[in-house]
Amino acid sequence: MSVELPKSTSAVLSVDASFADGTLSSRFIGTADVEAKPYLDDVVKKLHEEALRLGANKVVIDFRELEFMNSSSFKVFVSWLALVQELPADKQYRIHLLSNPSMHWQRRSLAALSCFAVDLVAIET
Amino acid sequence: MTPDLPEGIITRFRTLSLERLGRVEATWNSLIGGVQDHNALREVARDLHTLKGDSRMVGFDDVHVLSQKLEELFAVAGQLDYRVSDDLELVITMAIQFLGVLLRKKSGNAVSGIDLPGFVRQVDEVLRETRAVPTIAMPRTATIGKVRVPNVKVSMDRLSEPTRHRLAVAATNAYLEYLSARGTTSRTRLRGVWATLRDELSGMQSVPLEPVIDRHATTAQSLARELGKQVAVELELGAMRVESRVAEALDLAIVHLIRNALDHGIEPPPARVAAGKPAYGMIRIRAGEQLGMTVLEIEDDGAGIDLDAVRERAIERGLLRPERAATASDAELLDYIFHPGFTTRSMITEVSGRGVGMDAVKAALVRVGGNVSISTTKGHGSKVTLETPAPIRQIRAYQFLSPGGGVSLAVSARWTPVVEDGPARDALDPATAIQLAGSSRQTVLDLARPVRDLVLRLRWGFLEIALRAATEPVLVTADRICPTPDDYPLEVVAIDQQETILLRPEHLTSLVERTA
Repeated sequence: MSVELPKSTSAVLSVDASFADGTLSSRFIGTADVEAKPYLDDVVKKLHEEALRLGANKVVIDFRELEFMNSSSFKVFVSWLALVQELPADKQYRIHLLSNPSMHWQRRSLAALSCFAVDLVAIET
Repeated sequence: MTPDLPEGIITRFRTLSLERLGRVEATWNSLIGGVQDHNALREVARDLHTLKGDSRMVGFDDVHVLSQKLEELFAVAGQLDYRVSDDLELVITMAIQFLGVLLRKKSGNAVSGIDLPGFVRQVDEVLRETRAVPTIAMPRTATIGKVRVPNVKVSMDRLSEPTRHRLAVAATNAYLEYLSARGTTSRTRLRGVWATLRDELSGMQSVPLEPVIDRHATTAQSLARELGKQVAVELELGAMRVESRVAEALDLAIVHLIRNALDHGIEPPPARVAAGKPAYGMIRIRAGEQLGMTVLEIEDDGAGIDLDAVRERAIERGLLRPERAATASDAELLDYIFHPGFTTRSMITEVSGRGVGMDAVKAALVRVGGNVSISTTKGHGSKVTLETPAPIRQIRAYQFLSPGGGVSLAVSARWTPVVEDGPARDALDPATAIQLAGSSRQTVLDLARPVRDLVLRLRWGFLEIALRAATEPVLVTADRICPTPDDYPLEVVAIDQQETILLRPEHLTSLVERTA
C-alpha cells in the first residue's frame, strides 16, 4: 500500500513510502541539504504520524540512494528518535536504516545517529 | 545524579544549562552558515566551560563527559578557523543534540537505549582524523576573531575514586601473589608488579593543589580585562596536596569565587583610586593545614559584600522576618548567601550570576567532607574560607605477626585487642582469611608451623573476632601506601617502611562465613 507523503518542495530530494505487513518503508533519493530541509521536516513528521496511524512495528528508511545529508538535516532525525523514545512502549516502533557503506558520510553519520537510540535503531547494509 | 543535592539545584542547573546549550547551538549554526562573531565565540567558550564544571558539580557525569568533548571539538574547529569537514560539522551538531537529550533526562546520565560511549568513540575518531590531517588555515574575510579553548586531558591523578580502589585491590592481590611465590622464579617479577602498582597509586592518592588553582589565576587576568578591571592574583599554596575528589570540588569552587571576586568585589580602577586603594585589585589565595583539614582562603581587597542588600533580599525571600532583620548578625546574613537561588540584584551579572551559585559550591564541598564560610568588611574586601579534609595518609594500627611468624599483620586501632593464650577453637587463622580474601585461588601463604600460639580477641562496638597470632600486638602508625575501599578485607600498609597486611576483621569474617 502506497503512503501519501507531503508534496516535494525540493529539487534535490525525493522521498516515497509504502506500508505492508506492519512495516512502513521509505526511500530517500538525492541530497538532504539546506535547500531540502523544510521538505525533510515535513516528510519525517508525516512518516511518524503514518507509522502511528497504521500501527507500524517497523519503519525502514532506505538511505542507499541518498548522496549526502548535512548536519541540520540530521537534527530532524535526532528529533524524530526522541519522539519515538517518548512514546509508550506499546506504541514504539523500530527503525531500520538501510545504508550504503561505500558512502563515507553514511558510515560515520548513521553510526552516530544510532547512538541516540540503540534499542530502537538498527543499521543494515 | 548526586543523591544529596536538593532538587532545586538540579532544576536550576538544568534550566541554565539548556539556555547555555541554546546559545552554543545558535552560534554553531551561524558558524556553519559562514558567520563568525568574536563575542559569541567567547560566549560559547564560557558557556561550555561552565556547563562542564556545573555538570560535574551536580553529578551529571555524562553531560560532563560530553561537554568536555564538545570543548575539544570547538577547539579543533577553531584551529581550522571553523572551516570544518562534513564529519567534524556533523559530530559537533550531534554532540549539541546529544547534550540536549542528556540534560532533559532525569539523572543527566545515559539511560537504557542511549549509547554515549559509542558516540564518544565517534567523536574521538573524528578528532583523531582531523588532527592527523595537516591544514593550512586560510583566513576568511568575515573572520572577526577566534577563541582558543584549552584542550582537556584526563590525567592519571584525576582517576575516579572507584577506579583507584580497583587498582588498589589489584595491587593488593599482586602483593599476596608475591608473598605466596616464595622459592619460585616469578617472585622477583611479582615484586616488581606490586611495586609499580603501589608507586602509581601512591602518586594518585593526592594531587598538588597549585596546578588546580594556578590555571584559574591565569584566567582571572583576562576576565578582569574584559570587565575593565585590573587585578593581581597572589598564590601561597606551598607544596600542599589534596585528594583528587577534593581537588575537583575546589576546582569548581575557585572558578566561582574568582568570578565573584572580580565581578562584585574588585572595583574598577577609578573607584579604587578614589577610595584610596591601588588601581590594581588583589586576590590572594592561601592554603594551609589545620586540625586535619586543608584550609584554602580566597581573599580580595574589593568593596566587600553589601550586607544591607543581603538583608533586604533575605526578607524578600521570606528567610528573615522583618522584625528580626535589624538584629541579625553579620554571620547570619552571610549564611543566607548559601541558600539555594539566593542572589542579590547586584550579584546577577554577565560574569558571575549565571552559575549554579554558592549553594552548589557549598554542596560540592560538603560532599567531600568540607565546608565554606565567608567574612567581609565593607570597603575592604571579603574572605572566603574553604575547608576540606586533608589527605589521609596515616592510620593508627595494632601490628602483630602471623601464627607462623612469617607475615607482618595489623588491624586498625579502633579495635581493642585482648591477648589470650591459645589455642582457641573460635580463633581465625589470618592466613586462611587472607587466602580467602585474595582474588586468586593461587594465593596461598607458605606459613611455617606456629612458633607461639596466641589469640587476639578483638572488640569494636558489638563486633568481636578472635585471630591467631605469634606475637602480642603493638600500637603503631601505619602509612596508607595502597588504600583499598573500606569494605575490602585487606590493605597493604607500611610500618617503619616495612610492608604489612592490614586486616579488616569485620569483612574477613563475612568472607569466611560466605565461603564455609
